[in-house]
Formats: sequence, C-alpha cells, structure tokens
Amino acid sequence: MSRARRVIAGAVLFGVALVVALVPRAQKRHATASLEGGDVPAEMPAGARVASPPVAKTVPAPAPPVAAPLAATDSAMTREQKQGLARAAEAGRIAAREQKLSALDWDAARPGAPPADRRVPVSKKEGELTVAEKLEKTERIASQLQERIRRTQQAADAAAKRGEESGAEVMLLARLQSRVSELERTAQALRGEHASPETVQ
Amino acid sequence: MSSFRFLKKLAAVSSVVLVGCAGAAPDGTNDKDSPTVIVAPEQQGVVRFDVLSATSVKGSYEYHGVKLDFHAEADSLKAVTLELRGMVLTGTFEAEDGVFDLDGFNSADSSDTQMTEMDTTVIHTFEVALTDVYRARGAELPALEVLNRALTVWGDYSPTVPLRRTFYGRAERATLQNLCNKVNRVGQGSGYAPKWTWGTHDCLTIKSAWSDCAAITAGCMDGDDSSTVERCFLSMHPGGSCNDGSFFGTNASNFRCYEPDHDSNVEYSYGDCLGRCGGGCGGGTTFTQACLNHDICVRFGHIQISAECDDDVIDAAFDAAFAPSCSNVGFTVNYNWSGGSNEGKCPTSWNFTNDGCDVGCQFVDGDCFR
Repeated sequence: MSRARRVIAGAVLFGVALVVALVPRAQKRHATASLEGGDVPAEMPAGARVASPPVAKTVPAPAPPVAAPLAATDSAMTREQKQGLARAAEAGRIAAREQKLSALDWDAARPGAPPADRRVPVSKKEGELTVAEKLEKTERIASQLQERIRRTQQAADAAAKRGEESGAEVMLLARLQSRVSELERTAQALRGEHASPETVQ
Repeated sequence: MSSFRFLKKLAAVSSVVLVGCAGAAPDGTNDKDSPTVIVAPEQQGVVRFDVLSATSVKGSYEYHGVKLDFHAEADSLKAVTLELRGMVLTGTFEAEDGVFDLDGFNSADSSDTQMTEMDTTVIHTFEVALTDVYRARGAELPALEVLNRALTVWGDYSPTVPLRRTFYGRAERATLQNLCNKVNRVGQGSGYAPKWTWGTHDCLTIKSAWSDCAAITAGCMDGDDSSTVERCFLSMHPGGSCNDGSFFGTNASNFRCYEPDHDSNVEYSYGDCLGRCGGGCGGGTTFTQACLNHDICVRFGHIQISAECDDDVIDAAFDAAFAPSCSNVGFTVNYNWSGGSNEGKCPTSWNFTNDGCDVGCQFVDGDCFR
C-alpha cells in the first residue's frame, strides 16, 4: 500500500470513528430535550423550559444579567420606560378600534331576516336528544314564555293606568305570543313523533 | 355628538370608575339616590344602572354613539331584554332543563331582522364594560349573571343564524365538556408549565383529494390536520391588534397576530381569551370544547359571519348560557403590547424573567402565571 493510500485509509477510518462516537450523543441530547419539555413544546424558549420538570417547586429567581448586547439594553430599560411604551401601545389599540368602528356603516337600515332558503344549521347538542327529551324541553320553555307574557301584560296594564304609552310592551307581547304558538306547534309535532311506533326509542 | 365626546374624555382619564356601589342595600338592591355608573377602560363605553338587585338589573349602556337599554330578571323566570339600534332582543332561559329561547325583531314594526356586526360589537363591548362589576357581584346577583350570560350569547352571534331560535341540549353535558382544567392560571404547576389543548372544526374547505380536508369528505372534518390547531393556549390573555385578535405560530416562540387559512403547519395559538364562550374577552369565564372549536373556526380561516361556523356557534351558545364558569382564571397584565411596536416582537429578555407579565408578545410570558 502506498503512503498516499494509507493516509486516505487512515482519514476514512478516523471519520467513521468520529461519526460512531458523536451520533449516539446527539440522539441522547434530542431525547433528553423531549423528555424535559414534558407538556412544553421543544421549541419553547429556554427560560420557559427550565422550570417545567414536574418535581421542581421553586419559583425562578429574578432575571440574571444577560451578556448579549440587545438583552442587556432591554434589561436596562426602566420600569417607567416600559410603562411609557405600554401606554403608547394602549393608545394604538384605542386608535385601531376607533378606525375599525368608523369603517362600519352605523346608519345602515336594519336588515330583514336571513333568507329562508339558507341552510339551517343543526346543533350537535340538539341532535343528541331523544324526541321525549326535546318535547319536555319545548313544553318547559313554552311555559316560561307564558309566564313572561303574563308579566309583560301586567307592565302594559300598569303603564296604561298611568296614562303612559305602552307600544313597546304591546309589540313585545305580540312577539312572545307568536313565539309560544310556534313552540306549541313544535310540541304537537313532537308528541306525534313520539307516539309514532317507528320513532319510539 | 357632544355628550358622547364628554363621555370619551371622562373615560380617557379613568380606567374603571364605579360610582354608587357603596349604596347597595342588604337585599342587593342599589340605593336609588346614587345610581351605579361604570366607565369602562380604554374608552369602551359607560354603563348606568337604574336597578341592580338580585332579582332585577335594569339600565342603559352607551358606546360609540349607540344607546343600549337592558333589563334582566332572575326569580322563577330568567329573562333578558335588550334594545339597541332599532332592534329588540329577548331571551328566556331555563338552565335546569337545558333549554333557552331567543327572539329578535325590528322595534319599529315588529318585523324579523338579523344581527349585524355593529350590533355584536356594541353587545360584546357592553360585556367588556361589565367585567369588573360582574366578577365582583355576579355570584350574589343572579339577575346580573343572567344578563352577562345573555350578552356572551348575543355578543358572538352569527348574522346568518336567525334571531328566533330555541337552543336545546343537556345541561349535564355542558358540565362534562367544560375545559376548566385546561385553562392556564396563576401559580399553575411548577413555576411555569403551560397547558395546551386542541381545537378543531368542520367546513367545506377542500385541500386534497383523499386525506386532509378531502374532496371525498366534501371538505374538512373535525380532527383533520388543516382544520385543527393542536396546541391552543387557553387563558384570559387579551387580544392582539389583528382582526380576530388571536396569535398563531408554528412553535411557541414565533406567535404573531394574524389569521392563518387552514394552514397545516400552524399548530400553536393563544390570545383574545381563546376558548372562552363569547366573542373575545369579557367578564364571563366559561371555557368549553364547543366554544374553543367555534373560536378555531372563525379565527383559523373563516370570517366571523361565515355560515360554515354556524353549527359551532349554536353549540357554543348553549355552553355560553349554561356551562359552569371557571374559577381563578384571571391574571394581572403589567404590560400589554398589542397595538404597539413591540407586538409580536418583544425582547426575549422579557420572557419569564420576573419583570412583570407581558402580553401581546411572540411568546407566552411565564411571568403571567407565576
């Protein structure tokens, strides 16, 4: 074997040995990082990860001085300076909110009801109920609305006695009554469904 | 509008002012000679209570030139009425049976109408304005509790869902699906051990033929990679300056306030009270899976008024009305960088270095949860 070949062979062997020595250490380091993270993602900033092992109970000490120039400048920032910046941020938030509000058309006429042919979403929670459960709940809320009608009627009567206009109460009464009628029709349909042999559960 | 300008000036010089609370009588009624007035922080309106008692809450709220009148009762009947912008909203709640009924109509002629963005903005901001009084007195004043619950429902209502609707569910399921144990709190774990949970939604977005949000399933299903955020940080963190207020990232140190569109690489999110029932932050502290899923739907690729999120909003509304509140979830914000030049670009030396709670950063500052 020539000298050049021996040098090359030696270099190759050294490289292989280096790889064999370093790869397991790198894997172990990666595994340790994952374990240490626990609930904390591995990408979490180091400062956050330090305190995460479940057995550690100590509250981390105040920030130690940091050597990096930028961080040193930041930590040198006084509380007053930071508060001043935070006040500027608050002013920015208020301005942004006002800008967002001013973009809306506050004088637009009230829209009508959503289009009737629009997809009516089915609630997952409602879908889990049996017909009997839904019937019971419908009857219960209809009864509560009846009580509400009674109280609204009382308020309208009292206003009329005082000689005050009670247009709002009268309108509310009409809406509540139409709602109760709808719910009673729903309950009627549910009773039929509940009694039907195909749907009894 | 001069009176409104005056109120804005008044609000600008005071964060939260409560006038007249001290006049409360033993039965919970307020002293009529000293009405309770709340000036909300950051110029978010003024609330005036005419009645603030256990069984009845009545008054008005003014914000951005809009007046909202409210009345809530809570005895054998739990009912709420709001009137704003030419619309009357009524809600009747029966918590024990797990059912409530809503209606809304044009106050001029009693005709049907629908919710608009302006309406939800005012209603939600009203909930924000009530935050302090609700947290202080909500437990002792059932009428205030009912009012606040109704506000969380209407403040996040979809304009494409009819206002007249009965909401059904099982109250016990609302309890089972709450995420209180996933909400990040002060003093949690060992120093700072953030809790994460997933949120997902289904929709008609198609991203592949067979697998993720597939054509064969007519779009995203619950749990698909592109419709799911694996690591949602549930907390009372205020919102950022972007439209939906939430921060997203591909890891826990590169959050920024924007709305990803079904991005399968984005798996981290926090901010604007993610997972809380109701629009963004407010007084209520109810966190449930349905409310988180709705937040993910409207903040991860769909707009607030998207009909594709309406099934989620209806489930979320039930939880907003009846699911239990989570206790001790509040934390003190020392520095809110949202809207400022540091938003999403805070120096890393502010992260968990015992220098106060910073929010609106590209990381979640562990100082907020010490």
